[in-house]
Amino acid sequence: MERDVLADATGWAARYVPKPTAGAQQVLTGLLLEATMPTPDQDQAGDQAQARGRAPGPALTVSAFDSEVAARAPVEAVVTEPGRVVVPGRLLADVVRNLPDAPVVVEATETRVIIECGAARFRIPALAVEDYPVLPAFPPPVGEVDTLGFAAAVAQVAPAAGRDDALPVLTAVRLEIARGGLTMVATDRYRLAVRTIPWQPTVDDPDAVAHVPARLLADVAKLPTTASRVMLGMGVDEAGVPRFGLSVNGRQTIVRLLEGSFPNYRRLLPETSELTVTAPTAVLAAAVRRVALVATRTAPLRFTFSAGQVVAEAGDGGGAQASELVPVEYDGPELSVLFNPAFLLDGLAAVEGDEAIIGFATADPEIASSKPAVLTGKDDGEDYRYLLMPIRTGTA
Amino acid sequence: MKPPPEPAPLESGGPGPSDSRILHVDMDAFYASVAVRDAPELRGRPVIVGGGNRGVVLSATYEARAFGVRSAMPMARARGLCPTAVVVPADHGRYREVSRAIMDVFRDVTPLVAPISLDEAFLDVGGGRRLFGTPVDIARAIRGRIATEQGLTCSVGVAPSMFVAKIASARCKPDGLLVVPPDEVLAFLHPLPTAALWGVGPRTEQALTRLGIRTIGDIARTPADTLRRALGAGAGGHLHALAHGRDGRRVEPDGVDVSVGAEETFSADLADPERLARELLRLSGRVAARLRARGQAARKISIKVRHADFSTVTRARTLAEPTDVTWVIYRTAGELFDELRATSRPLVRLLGVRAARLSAAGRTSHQLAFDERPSGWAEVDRATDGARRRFGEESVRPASLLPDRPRRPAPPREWGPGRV
Repeated sequence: MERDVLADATGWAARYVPKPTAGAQQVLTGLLLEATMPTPDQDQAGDQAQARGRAPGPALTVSAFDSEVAARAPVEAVVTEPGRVVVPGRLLADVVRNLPDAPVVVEATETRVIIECGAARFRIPALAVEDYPVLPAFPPPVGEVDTLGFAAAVAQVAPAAGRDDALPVLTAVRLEIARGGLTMVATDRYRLAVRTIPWQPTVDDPDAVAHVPARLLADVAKLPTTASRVMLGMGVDEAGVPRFGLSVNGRQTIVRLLEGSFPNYRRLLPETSELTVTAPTAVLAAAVRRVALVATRTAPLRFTFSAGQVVAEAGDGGGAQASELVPVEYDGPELSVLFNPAFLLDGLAAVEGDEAIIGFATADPEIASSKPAVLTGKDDGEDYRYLLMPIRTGTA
Repeated sequence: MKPPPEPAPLESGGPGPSDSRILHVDMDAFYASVAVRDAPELRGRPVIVGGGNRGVVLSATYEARAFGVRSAMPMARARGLCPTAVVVPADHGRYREVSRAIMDVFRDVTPLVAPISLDEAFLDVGGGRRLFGTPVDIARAIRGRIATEQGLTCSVGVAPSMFVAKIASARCKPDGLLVVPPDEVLAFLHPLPTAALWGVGPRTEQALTRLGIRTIGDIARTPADTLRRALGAGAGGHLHALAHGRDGRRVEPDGVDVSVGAEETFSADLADPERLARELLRLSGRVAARLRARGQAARKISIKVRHADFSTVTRARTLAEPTDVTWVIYRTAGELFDELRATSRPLVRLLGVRAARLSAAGRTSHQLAFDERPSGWAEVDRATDGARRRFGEESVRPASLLPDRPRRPAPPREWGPGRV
């Protein structure tokens, strides 16, 4: 097979190999290589073939698995004899990446793998293939979505997900599929991001939700690819485990879903904003970053909005202080609100367009300083919203 | 005693030590020095302060240290190393008294004093330039006052950050002053062994040695990701930042290692979970009320449980935000207690609740969540405090603490077991 093709696939799959830790199954630190001879009536890799746009040749599959995620990448190969072998994953990826530019020949027995490429030859002990678990199948496809649009939406939503395992479902991005669009939501109780994007369902009445681990989804979505479409799958596997699948260019990532009930977020989304501020996104973000330098890790920034301007301030009597004025479009009453600068910066980084719109549901300055503010980008329209709860002084 | 090392020359060009505003003041062999000062006939002799039930060395004069005596060493071993040593029992009341006088000296030059223990403290003296001179002037003045007023010596590290100041004071002991100007921080740190860094204990040191990392400079040259993989995300990133001289912490007055606690030994050992929960609530209420009376809030809550067989366990959790609220302290203590007793539930002889990492309550703030009402338990506490002031301690208490009301309060949460 081609060196570049194999290197690409092993490098991709190796990122899913769990780190070797005490107590973990050693065999999972390996990559499973499966060589199959195609039979005309066995359409075992249908969408792979479709993605590559030609008949499936004799093929190799590179797979990785840990409790949360399974990954499977097809590789164009000439197979002389079918078989399965598990090779230490990171080592294999390192070796293949460094091979000279020449065809690669892999030959395996139960106990070792020989890799030959040009004049280079590697002999690597194999891991116990009989211990390798059965990988979950790709869940039933539900539709397709544009690769870049999907990646952009995930990047807008995932930062709002929780990181505290006390409430696992909040570490997920919630995906809701409906005929009208694919909606993604994440919240850590303090901020919430929601985005709806167009997609092409391939089932009649799409109506399902999946809670996909946010970090994993963010990692997968940002991987570079030449493919323009992502195929999505959702369903419960043979073992009764709910799974979500992404297939890009035939490369499948199959994720175990998080359990638990997601809070009813829709009632948090305000219908309208009585006060709105339009601010230059990059200028405001730069000011927040500067002023936040003097704030301790958990200390808030105070934002005072008045006609045509907002002043960001941080610091307290004893220590360093900073403030900066940013001209904005605003003509409401004077309004003073405290925000966590990191949360606000996440929102400003996520909105699209040169201008960010910050909305407050009520014109009463007292109430507005304890209700969520809504961030959108001028170019986001109604499709993206980032809600942010303020900070209050005192303890609770 | 050896002569104090020369302070770094102030004329060395560059920006000078003007930004080295953090002082770490560490008393030299504090307990032993106090003992010698109070009994001058001991001067010049090896003196060991030993004590407590466990019989270990609490402090030793430098004369005794010359024989290899070290703090925390078993007394028997120390006597073996230094048979001529005079052993003095510890007098904690006396040490506290002297400590207060020393801390008062610090507070005369800056309000930003963070005591770490009786005998060491961090000071931020950046605001005292006009009144008291440069940080180096202030360090000299403090050393002078402690020597004349208390008859004790201390070592002072002066640096731009807390951890560098701490290392500096350790490198100039005893009776020394070491100034690390900002532009010399890396040159000062990098040749030092990794163990000089705060947070590098024997285990971390071993892990680093396995990577071939022996000096702080080696840490600085190692990619942060490699350190994270070897030591975990938190510790790895932390050490990498320290090795580059970055330490974001500020001197928080009275904010370090000072705590407020309450504990109770029961007349009969307890097993009933409801009764135990109520005791936790009672203790949490006492701790919270004491915090509020001092105007402080705590970020770390710990519990102590002593079983009928006298085995004692403690568990601690750090909160996202400081609190002085009974309900938050009780909920945290309750979670810790439930986790502790998830597998086995021996009879309980003593329960304790402690709040640490204190800061001024007026300067804390609270990140609101979507699922909480903006007023609640803090206000309940304020009302309770007011009623107790007017009508007495027993006038107001949670319903579950009323006689014949064995009920455990339920958490007021809509989205599940989040933590404030």
